[in-house]
Amino acid sequence: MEFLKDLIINIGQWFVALLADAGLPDIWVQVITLGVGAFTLALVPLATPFLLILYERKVVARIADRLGLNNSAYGGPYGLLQVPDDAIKMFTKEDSVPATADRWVFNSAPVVCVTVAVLIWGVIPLGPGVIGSDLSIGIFYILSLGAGSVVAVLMAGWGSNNEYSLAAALCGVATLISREIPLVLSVMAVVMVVGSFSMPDIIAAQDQYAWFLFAMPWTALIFLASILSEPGRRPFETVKADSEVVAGYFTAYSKFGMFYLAEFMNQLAMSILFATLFLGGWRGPFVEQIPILGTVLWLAIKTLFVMSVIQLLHYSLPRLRTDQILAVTWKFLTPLALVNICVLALAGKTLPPNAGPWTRTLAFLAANIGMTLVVLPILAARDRAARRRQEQIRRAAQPSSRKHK
Amino acid sequence: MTLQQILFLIFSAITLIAALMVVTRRNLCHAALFMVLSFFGVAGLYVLLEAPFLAGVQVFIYVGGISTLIIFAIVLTRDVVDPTLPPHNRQWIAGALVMALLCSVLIWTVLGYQWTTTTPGQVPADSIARLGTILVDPEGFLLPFEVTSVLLFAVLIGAITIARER
Amino acid sequence: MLNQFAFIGFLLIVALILGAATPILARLVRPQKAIPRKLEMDECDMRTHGETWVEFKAQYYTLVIVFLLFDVAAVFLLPWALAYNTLELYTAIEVIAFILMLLGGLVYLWRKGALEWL
Repeated sequence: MEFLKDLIINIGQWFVALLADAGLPDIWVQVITLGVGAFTLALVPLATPFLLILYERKVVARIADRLGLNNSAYGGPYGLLQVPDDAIKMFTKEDSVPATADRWVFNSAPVVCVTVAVLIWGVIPLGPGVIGSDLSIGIFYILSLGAGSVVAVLMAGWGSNNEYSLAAALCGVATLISREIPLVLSVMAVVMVVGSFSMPDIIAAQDQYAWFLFAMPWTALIFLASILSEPGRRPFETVKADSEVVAGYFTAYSKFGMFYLAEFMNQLAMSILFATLFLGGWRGPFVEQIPILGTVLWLAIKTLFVMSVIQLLHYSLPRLRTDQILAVTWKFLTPLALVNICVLALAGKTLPPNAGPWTRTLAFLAANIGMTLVVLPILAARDRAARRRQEQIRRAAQPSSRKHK
Repeated sequence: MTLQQILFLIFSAITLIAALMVVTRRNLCHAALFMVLSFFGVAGLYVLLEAPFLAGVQVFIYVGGISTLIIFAIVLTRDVVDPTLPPHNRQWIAGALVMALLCSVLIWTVLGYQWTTTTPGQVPADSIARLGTILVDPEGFLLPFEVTSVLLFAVLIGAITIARER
Repeated sequence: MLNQFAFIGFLLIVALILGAATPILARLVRPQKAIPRKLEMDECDMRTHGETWVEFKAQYYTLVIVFLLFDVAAVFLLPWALAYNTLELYTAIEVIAFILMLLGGLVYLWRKGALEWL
């Protein structure tokens, strides 16, 4: 049982010892360890969708009040084999590149998309000490990678060389870059309190303070709203708006499996990111005694919870138009995030310098409640004004229609 | 050669070859994508210089912002993929002269400089936090920092005024 | 520090290989029966008409400019956010002045109707 306590780290150390015993020089031991480590880590996001896509299908079936995958011809018991079936079908399907497409750009776009989605996993902490690489710029690294997915979307839209894809790519990029500002600003609020970009430090800080979801709920809300558009989740879903721009920027791809995979990997990564930044990551009871619990129990539960919330939003809300999404991000989320930074900065510094973490947590919470008291009336007033305008328009329209009768 | 030198050569090669492709490609979208690759190469160089924050900023601003801006500008122009268009306009002689001058000045400076060969000092672990401290320090860069916000404000207004005037 | 980035480098290589290998391997097993009509660009049998490179609206361009400005501003604020715990109250007020300037710009855009994209 001693071995199980720290399973993943023990396996890693066992592997390094094995290589060293084989008489390899130090540099090769390092290179092989890094290579195998990177390969194993890359397999995690590539393999987990096989289980989680099934989970998502069950969730959407419950939301739509139907059974979902249970007994299709090749699906196997409980539909367990459906996702592997789909993968095999995707793999063997004919792949026709449109004659007008720009072949190099067209074919490399999905590769870039998947690469960016895998790279995010390099800094996500999966358990105590289980992290690809604890970069000093951890969370900023993830924010910068957002640029890569913008490039991938543009490449796909551009390489397809037709107006459906290009128009959809432009809409998609417009939403992707608009949500980037509130995303950075909400992460900035977390960095302010923690004092570090490093992901393990962010988790450790939540042990001192409360979970950041409770310390700064507005920040969590802004963050959640801004992570929705990258994996194409409603209500911020113009990246691939099925009914308007067909399949979005990958309309021309006869095989969109790679984009689908990257999208799912992003959704998973963003869920883990939310769990790490705002729900304490792998922290939980008994983690000190049995570290593996942090990965397989606490992080898994928190991630599934966040993912279910995202899926619940996706399958129950209508999609906003592109201009509506831009209105939400620029007229609501961005100013709110800026004000949020100001309020938190003031709340943290007006306390005496020797105030403990709990006093500071309460101060942040109080600042958030204060923000709610200001923001909600403003929203309500704007809502009333909009309703009144619509009412006036309807009244102005009615008498004229009677005249025609 | 140490590993760092090999990596330096690889990243420089990526940056330079990609930069060369930017100016020689007829197809503007290919040129823009090579520019993105070139930016990534520069980010790799920053990582080698132990300046990870700068590398992040390079990707964040240049790939995320500037490239997107340029790609959108290309999308908004006509005839971007027409291979019959000449790749340069009438001012190419003047441009070549200026570039030759700049290039010779750079080479002259690089060759004439007394390069120190001592090993570089250790980069402090809290270098980014120090940057943050000195940015808002009245003794440090507070005035430029605040002027930056005014500058950004002015650019914001200017950009909108120019874009709307039609 | 370079050791930490070495892992990212390896991850990048592995991701590129995995991403590129899948389509190449798939090419070996999949049928290849291209006919001209299949290679034409269409969606639900609606052929595209006209050129791809129609001019798009200039608002997209202003959107990216505004995004770029806020991006730069965010990068200026990030080091401050990192050092926030060790700083005094007056630095918070300086940064609030910085942010108020940005908010002023945003309000200006809003009043001018420049936030009505598309």
